[in-house]
Amino acid sequence: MKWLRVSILVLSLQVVSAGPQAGNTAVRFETVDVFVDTAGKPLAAYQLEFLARSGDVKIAGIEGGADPAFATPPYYDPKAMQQDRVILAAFTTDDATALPTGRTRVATIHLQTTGTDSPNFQIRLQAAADAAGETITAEATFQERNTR
Amino acid sequence: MDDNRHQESDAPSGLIHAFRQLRPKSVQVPRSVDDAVLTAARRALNRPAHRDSFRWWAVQDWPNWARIPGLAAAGLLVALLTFLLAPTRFAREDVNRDGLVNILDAFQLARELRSGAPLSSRFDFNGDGVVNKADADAVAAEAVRLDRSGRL
Repeated sequence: MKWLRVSILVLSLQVVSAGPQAGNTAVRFETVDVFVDTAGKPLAAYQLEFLARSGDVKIAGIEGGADPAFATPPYYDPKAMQQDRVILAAFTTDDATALPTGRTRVATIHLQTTGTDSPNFQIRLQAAADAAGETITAEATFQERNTR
Repeated sequence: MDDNRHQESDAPSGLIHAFRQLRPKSVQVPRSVDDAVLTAARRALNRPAHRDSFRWWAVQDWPNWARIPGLAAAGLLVALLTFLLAPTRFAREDVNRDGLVNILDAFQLARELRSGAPLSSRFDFNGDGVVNKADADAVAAEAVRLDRSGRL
């Protein structure tokens, strides 16, 4: 009888300790839209870095943006797949009149996250230029879609 | 004085005599020679120092206090000139020569391709013998390489 009590106690402890871990293995897929805001100037080229500061995050796919000038997927290192960091870049030689201005969705990133922790994403614009190749001031932002 | 005389009287008379023989005989120098020597000395001592005689490039002419900082400053000057005058080296893909390899280099190459201007073979980044959009793609691929730049 004593052995039975000890066994039940040990099994209970194992269940308690394994419970949260089992929950942490839950895999989710998230979609993050990436924007570049040029404050009214035409955007012809950009380069930015996106990464997850925390959480178990792996990049699963990358799409182009909303504007036709940046509809094709941007340049990125294929090694970024299954990692938590990527550098995105794109350019277009279209005429300035055909370029997007203001806040433009330039790419979409699909992510696979594991666990219950919310990932902490960061983004930084590395370069942006107008149709003449001149550097312009711009801001890169991201927005998580409500998808699970 | 009395002590000296007492000590002298204690010395042997032969020694005293020998010392007295050592006394130099007085030499009579004419007054005109004295005056000439003094005049020449005064003229030499009153002459201002020649600045021309200081050779700034000769370290041995420098005062002691100036040697170490002077040599250190000279070394720094040489290093600075070497750094400034050395030809700047750019990465091969740094098309716009701004010291960075990024998408703006690929963009510049693409714009030049679009303009139809003849391009140097140094833009043949993929080594296929022609300069075309594939070379701009190669520069862009280099720009986004993860191990090229550090994390945020």
